[in-house]
This record gives sequence, C-alpha cells and structure tokens, in this order.
Amino acid sequence: MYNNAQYYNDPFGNIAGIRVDINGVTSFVPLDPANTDYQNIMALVAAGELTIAPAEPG
Amino acid sequence: MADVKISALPAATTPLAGTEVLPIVQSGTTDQVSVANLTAGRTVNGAAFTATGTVSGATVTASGTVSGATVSGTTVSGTTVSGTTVNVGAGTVSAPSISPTGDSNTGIFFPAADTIAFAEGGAEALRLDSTGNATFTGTAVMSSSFQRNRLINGNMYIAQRATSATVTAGTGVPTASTGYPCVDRFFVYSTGANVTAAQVSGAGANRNLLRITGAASVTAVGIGQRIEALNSYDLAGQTCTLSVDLANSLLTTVTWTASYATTTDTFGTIGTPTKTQIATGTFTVTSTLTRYSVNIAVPAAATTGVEILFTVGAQTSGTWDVGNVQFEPGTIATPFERRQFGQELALCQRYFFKTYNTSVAVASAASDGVTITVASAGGVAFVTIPFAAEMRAVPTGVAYNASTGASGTWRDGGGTDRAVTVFSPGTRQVSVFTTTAAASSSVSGQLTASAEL
Repeated sequence: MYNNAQYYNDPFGNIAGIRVDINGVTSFVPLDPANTDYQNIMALVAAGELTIAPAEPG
Repeated sequence: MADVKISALPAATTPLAGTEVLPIVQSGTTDQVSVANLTAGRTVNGAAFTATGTVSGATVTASGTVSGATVSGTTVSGTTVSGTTVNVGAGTVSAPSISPTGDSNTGIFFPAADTIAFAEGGAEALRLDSTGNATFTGTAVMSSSFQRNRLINGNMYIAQRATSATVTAGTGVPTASTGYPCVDRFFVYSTGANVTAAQVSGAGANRNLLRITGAASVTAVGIGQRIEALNSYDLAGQTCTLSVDLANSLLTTVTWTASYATTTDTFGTIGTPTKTQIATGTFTVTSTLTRYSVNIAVPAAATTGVEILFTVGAQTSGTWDVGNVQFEPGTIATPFERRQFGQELALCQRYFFKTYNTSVAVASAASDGVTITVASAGGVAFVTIPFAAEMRAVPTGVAYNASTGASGTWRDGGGTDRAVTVFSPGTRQVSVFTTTAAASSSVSGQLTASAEL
C-alpha cells in the first residue's frame, strides 16, 4: 500500500514529511505521530518492510 | 335480662347492618344509638384506617395509612394514601390536586382534558398537553446536552470523496487517508473480494443510505466509525445506546462491535488492531429497512476513543444498507438527531478537507481549485490554504491535477504539468509549492487533506 517513500523538505529546506505513494496516489505525510499514515509508515519501517529515502538536497 | 357478662353474650352477625343499637351516656342520660349513627357526621381520626368499601368525608385524616377500595374527600391526607385508583379533582395552579403536606401550592393539577401540569409555588412549571408536547417554563436540563449523537454524518449526507467507489479487499485500513471510500467518516473494508460502497437515496427519514453491493468470493464486509477521544471521553463509565437502520437483501445477521483505542485515538488497522473490545452482538435483519438498537456499557477505561463497527459475512451478492447511525449517552434510543447539512459538513471537515466543490468527487478533472502565481522562475512559489476547520491531526496531503485528476502535479498556464509539494505545517493550514514553473505564469490544481483515525 505504501511505496516509494522519500523524505521531502519544506520551502525553507527543513524536512517536512514523507512523500509516498499510497495505493498509487502521490501523498505527502507529515511527521506527526497522530497521523495514522505516519504511524503505519513507521511501523513498516520498523518491520523492515519499507525504506524511506533521504530528501533530495536543495 | 339477668346479669350476663358481655363476654358471655352470643356474637353478633357480621358485617353489621347499621341498625343495631348500643347504649351510650349522653348529658348524664343513658340513651341508645345505632351503629350507623355512631360516627355519622363526625371526623374520624386514627393512626390507620382500613376499609373494604368506601371511605369518604369532607376530611379523611390519619397519621398512618388510609386505604380502601375507594378513598374520597375534599381533602385526603395521610402518611400513605393508597388504592387501586386514586381519583382527585382537577385542582388549580395555586391549589394543585396532589401536593405535599405543608406546601399546598406545589404539585400536580389537571388544567384541561387530557392535560397534566405541574405547579411550583403557585406558578405553572411544566405542562404536558393532550398530544404529548411538553412545555417548560424554565430550562430543560437533560442527562447530556443536545447534540447527543457522537457519530458524525450518521445519516450519510456528506460524501466529499465520492458518491460511489470500489472498496479494494484488504485489512490494512483504515488510516488517515485510506479506507474511507465514500460517505465521510465511515470506513469500509472487505475481505475475499472487492465490493462497491455508494451513497444512495433513501426514503422517508433516510434521505441517504450507505449501500454495500456484494460480489462473488467476498468473505466479510465491515463499516465503522472511530470517535476521537475528545468527543467520547465523557462516555466512559456510562451506558450508551447504539441505534441504526439496517437492511440486507442477502444476509440476515449484522454483527455490531464497540471497542476503545489502546492509546488515545490509535485503533490500528483491521488487520493489526490496537483496540480493546467493549461489547459485541448481532441484529437479525431483513431486506426491509428497520431500526435496531442496543445498550452498551462503556467501561471507565474507555477514555481513548470509541470505535463502532458493523460487519456481515459472505456478502457474495445483493446489497447491505446502513443509515441513521446514532451512538448516544443513556439507555434510551432517542430519535435520530438530524443536524443541518452545513453543520454536518463542518464536523466532517475536521477529518477530511478538499478544495473541490463539495459535490465534486476527489480526483475529478475540475478547474475550481487553487492557483499559484509564479513571480520568478527557479524560485519557490507557493500558496497557503487555510482549512475549513481545525483538523484532528496534521493531515496527509494530496495535490490533484485539475485537468487530468492525476495526483502529484498541477498544470501551469501554458499547459505543462508541474510537480508540486504539499506541506502541512500544522492542523490549521496547508501550503502547496513548486520550484519548476516559469516566471509570470500560474499553476493551478486541487488539494485534499486527510486526518482520519
């Protein structure tokens, strides 16, 4: 369900969240523990089932 | 008659006729009096008085019990006054016909046919008219406030995402942005095969229903809503009532389950739950839409959010309709609480926001969205959009192309699709920015933000 995860930066160059395809939809998930997409992504990462690529420099 | 002790006299036949006589001394003279005249015209006082027939008089008073098949009088009083039927006069607001000792202008009176009223200090406080309407002079204070229904969009009015959608089989839902295919706030899942979820028109009290259309190989279908802790913590320790309209053209059993989150607002997914079951049970349903209700004792520990889930088994064909879902404090299933469309929409927008018009489905090609004006090429150009309501959590954002409906890009004025980034700094606003557009151009598109549980 979650694919192609990569951190992304806000306009000021700070990490803002995770850009990820969710069921094929390009989505932007914030780094908010109350966001249940974020909870699931972190669970998948902890289980070794998903890797989040670093943000592109810029 | 020879001297005979009274105890040696033969017993009289009872009950007495009233014509029997007794000797009495009156003004120094021994006279006779009939039994009937013994108490006639006199007040009878006593600790208690019991009759098998009628007790009547201008005043019937006892410090104990007065009882009888009929007890009547202008005033009847006692520690206990009882009877199969106690009939009283109509009374007035200043002299109610039933009142407590020492407070004769407070009590119950009957101002008109089929009408009951309550007086306090000689003033009317409450009237129940002949059609069951209640009129309060003061404020009606209920065990909980109005806005009793803790479920949002229980009548399936709001369908921001789509009015019909395919539910892909799987148990990895719901999340902030997945598992909510159709009507707002209700997640849907299926196992075995995909099903269709649709907002359909109802009848009468059901303007809309959520309809699941089954398919071959389906093994289970679930419809549920998660109530965040902020809106349910006070239900902990109370008995609540769940009521719902249900119909199923194939199956006869709908299972309901109430649960609470293990930690605040974190229920997990269907496949990996992090919740504790409160109670479960079944409704036996038919193809005719019928209302069902059940009391649920919510435990004191359930301060972390409550989930209501309805499930059916192998919906391999036919339809399952759900409507007017209500979860309220108390033991009575009150009529479904109907909120204004705008109110319901505002409640939904705490969990899902979009820039599309409400009636336009997400991912549609619709140009009623948001525009970024780009000042200089190569720089960051962005637009900030305030949410309609503060969202439950920082939401997952998705940008949609207004021309194609695809996610991830917006289209500029020259017809080129530009990659955009959605950045939600908090729960009140979201920004969309791009660094790829040409100077003096504009980039337009649509946006959604999801913060479901």
